[in-house]
Amino acid sequence: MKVRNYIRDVRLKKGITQVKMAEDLQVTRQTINAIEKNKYNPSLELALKNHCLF
Amino acid sequence: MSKSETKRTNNGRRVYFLNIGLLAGTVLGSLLVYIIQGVFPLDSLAGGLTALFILTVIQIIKRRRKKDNLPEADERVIHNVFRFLAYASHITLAILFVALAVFTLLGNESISILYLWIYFFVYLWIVGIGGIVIKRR
Repeated sequence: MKVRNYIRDVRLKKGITQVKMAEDLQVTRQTINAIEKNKYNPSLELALKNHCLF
Repeated sequence: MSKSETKRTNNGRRVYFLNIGLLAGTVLGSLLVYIIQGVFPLDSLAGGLTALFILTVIQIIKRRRKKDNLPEADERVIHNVFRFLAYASHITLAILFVALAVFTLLGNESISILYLWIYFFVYLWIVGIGGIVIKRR
């Protein structure tokens, strides 16, 4: 089952780049890209960090 | 120091620990050869020290060139590398098993140790280069 998210929309609305978001979450930019394209499901820890970021 | 800064410092220190480990392994290996064979392998020690020097220079250049604060590997990269290593190891064992079966069926009772070394080093090369490729994806 594919888990969909709207992280890209929220990120663009806030005017944050993928690199900035990756730096804040301490992950690679490729991971942020994979999450936004629904190709990777983040761990619970990363998902919670992401939630706190926004 | 914030958590991300601590993590970055620890990652930097880990690289130098790896270099120290490489040096320790080279010295230990040389000592073992000296104890067993009675001749100190200066060429092996020189090769190890050269490799250590080159790796340290590469690490320093990489750290100086790095402009952003992004980590080298995160949870996704580690997961991909583990998955690659699991596949590579199991496929290697399967190929070894099949090769052993074929050798046995052909009537060979012994295998040259050279073939085993070649197989082992091919595995190391594939895993090493494959790991680098997977890390960049």
